[in-house]
Amino acid sequence: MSSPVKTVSGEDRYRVVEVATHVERRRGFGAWIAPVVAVALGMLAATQIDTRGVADLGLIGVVGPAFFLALVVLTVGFAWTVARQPGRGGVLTAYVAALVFVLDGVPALAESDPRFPTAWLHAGFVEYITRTGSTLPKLDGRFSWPGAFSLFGLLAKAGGVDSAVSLIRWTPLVVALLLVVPLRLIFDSVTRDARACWLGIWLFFLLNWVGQDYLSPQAVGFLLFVAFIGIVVRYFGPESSDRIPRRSSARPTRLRDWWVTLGSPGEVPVPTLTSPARRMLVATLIALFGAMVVSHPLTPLFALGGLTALVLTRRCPLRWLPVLLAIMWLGWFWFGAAEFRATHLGSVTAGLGSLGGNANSAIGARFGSNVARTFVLSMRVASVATLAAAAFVGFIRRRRAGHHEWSMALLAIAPVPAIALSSYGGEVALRIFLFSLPFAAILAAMAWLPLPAAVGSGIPRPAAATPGAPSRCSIGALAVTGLVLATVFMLIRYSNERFEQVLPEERHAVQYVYDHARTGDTLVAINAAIPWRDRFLERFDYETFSVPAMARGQTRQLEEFIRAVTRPGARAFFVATPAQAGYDELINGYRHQWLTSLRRGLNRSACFEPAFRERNAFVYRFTCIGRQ
Amino acid sequence: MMKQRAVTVGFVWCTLTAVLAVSDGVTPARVVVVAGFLLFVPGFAVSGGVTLDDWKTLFTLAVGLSITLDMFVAQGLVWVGAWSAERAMVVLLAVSIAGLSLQSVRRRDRIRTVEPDGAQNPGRP
Repeated sequence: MSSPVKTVSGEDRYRVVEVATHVERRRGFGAWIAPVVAVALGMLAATQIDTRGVADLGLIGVVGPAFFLALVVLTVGFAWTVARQPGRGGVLTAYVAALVFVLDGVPALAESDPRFPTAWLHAGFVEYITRTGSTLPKLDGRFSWPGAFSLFGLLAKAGGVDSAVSLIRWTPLVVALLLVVPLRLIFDSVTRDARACWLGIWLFFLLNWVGQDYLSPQAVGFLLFVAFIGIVVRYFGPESSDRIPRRSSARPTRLRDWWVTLGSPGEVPVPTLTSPARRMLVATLIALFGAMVVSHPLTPLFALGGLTALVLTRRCPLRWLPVLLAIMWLGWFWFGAAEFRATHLGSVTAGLGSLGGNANSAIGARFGSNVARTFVLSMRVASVATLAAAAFVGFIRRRRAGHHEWSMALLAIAPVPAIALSSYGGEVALRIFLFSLPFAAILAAMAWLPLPAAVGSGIPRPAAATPGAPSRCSIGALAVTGLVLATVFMLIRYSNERFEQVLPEERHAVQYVYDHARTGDTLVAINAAIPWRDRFLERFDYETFSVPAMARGQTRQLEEFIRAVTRPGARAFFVATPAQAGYDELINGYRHQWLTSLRRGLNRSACFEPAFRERNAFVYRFTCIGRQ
Repeated sequence: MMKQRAVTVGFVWCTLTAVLAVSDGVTPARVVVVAGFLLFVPGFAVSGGVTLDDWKTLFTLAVGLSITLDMFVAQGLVWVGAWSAERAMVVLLAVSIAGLSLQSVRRRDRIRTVEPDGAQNPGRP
């Protein structure tokens, strides 16, 4: 069928073009409808979520149909747009932003108070710095890496908010949105296919259930890490295959071929830089790494590991840079974090080389007796395994088409050796997954896309298919996969909702303690799942204590503990909240409703005097100080 | 052209931030404007001297370097015992305005240099 523009001329031609443009524009506006509808559905879902009703599987049980409808609209719309209109960057950005809003923003809107007690503690670090203008590394090891806390302090004070707690609610959303462009920069260095780039970004957010984007140094560190790697792979990749030293006399072997392809450029050539631009970018890399070094102990090691892997395989010409960055990290660890080094060096190096022990504490030991938690942890393992398999398939498919995504493969694998360094409080596996995720996501995206045309580099390979538009069946499969991943995301990411959400009565209980305790008093909680220490960090002695006997209403060990940790002349308060009870039920296998038994035991005890109660949150004043 | 527009937006943002940061009121607008400034402007101002036309790189540099500069300035003030949010904002605003001014002057010089032979604008009447 011929185009109408070709059959008319003169004034009519302009009219037809005008009408065609109008139709195209209307179709263009139509593409924006799905993300807007998804955001509206998400906001509706937020009003319907009852966070008090969360059970052992977490938030997924209470999100309601509007939430899932939003996910359906998003996944179907995105699959269609990325397959048929991959050049529409604005629309696809809107889809990604809407996905981030639905996954991170809707729970934030639904919860009465900002989530995650650890974020409240970080707000306390920020409060201390802004109040005193100094850090306190003797109190907490995290103060040895204060860069991000100072940054949050500046943001809070200059923004005019009373406390960094006000920043907690929207930090995950902002961090996620800021990641979109640096991720695109990384993926642009791999392929010219916009579909692969957008799909990689889509998969990244669907699989980023690790939850390290709250108000924390690691959230800032990860953003800097992605920017750092983006600049490295985009501007300091392998330049040209003819520059790779080859021994002409050497007989071609599989090993030699592999070594040649390892250092050969990929599909996208590295841009030529002027000297000032090159110097500026190298200085930027050093500055970004410096910011990582003063903010977080682990993030710079992942950046250094990734860069070193690229340098060793001739995929980055900046051979001297890893040495300089290693000196920077060591220098900070030795001098900047001297307090931490002096007190914690033994515990840090305890896991060195203990591959089995670290892996067990990171994965095996997390499986407990709770059936729901075991299911969630199994889903985590399954999602990691599925991503790894899809990334491997994508890598092999592209390799067969003549494109060697070695940079992405190396960067995906580079964090894995960290498991032999330390258990990092049982979290090392989560961190490895997070720092591998961007690179595995783009490789996994390539598993779905049609193969690009083969390129020649002298290495025999099968003929590749020409890339074309994915079939309807393929688009349907992508939409279904996206929906499954989004559901799994909700299950995994918010499975700890019972102890990660903050309820008003918990905040009120803590407020009661702060209103009535004096400087030097001891504040005791069951565990760390309590929103305190967001202020008065150094004013009180904070302790946690939990033994199974407490679940049976026995309080003798608790009394002995409080007596032992309370200073002479000081008073003590004991705070128990539903989130703390939920933590021990899910993680330590305590029976359901054990908090009621504990409360009965505390009421029977002569050493505890009820001071505050709101729903299931209560505060007791300890009255047996000094008595034997 | 896009970059020139960004420089203008940067100047406007600096002015807005300066006005809001010294005000006593706490409004959502103040948080958004100050956060926007701290997340984008200082980094864009110092990285703008590099001739890179890729907006994704410029965005990444702006965000990465802004966070880095904010952190170094805030933490630097803590280290020297002179912490104050106002002081940090003054330093960052000064750095931003200096960087943006430099970009603006360089841009004007470049246009003035190439305009007479029309090489930059061949389609211009």
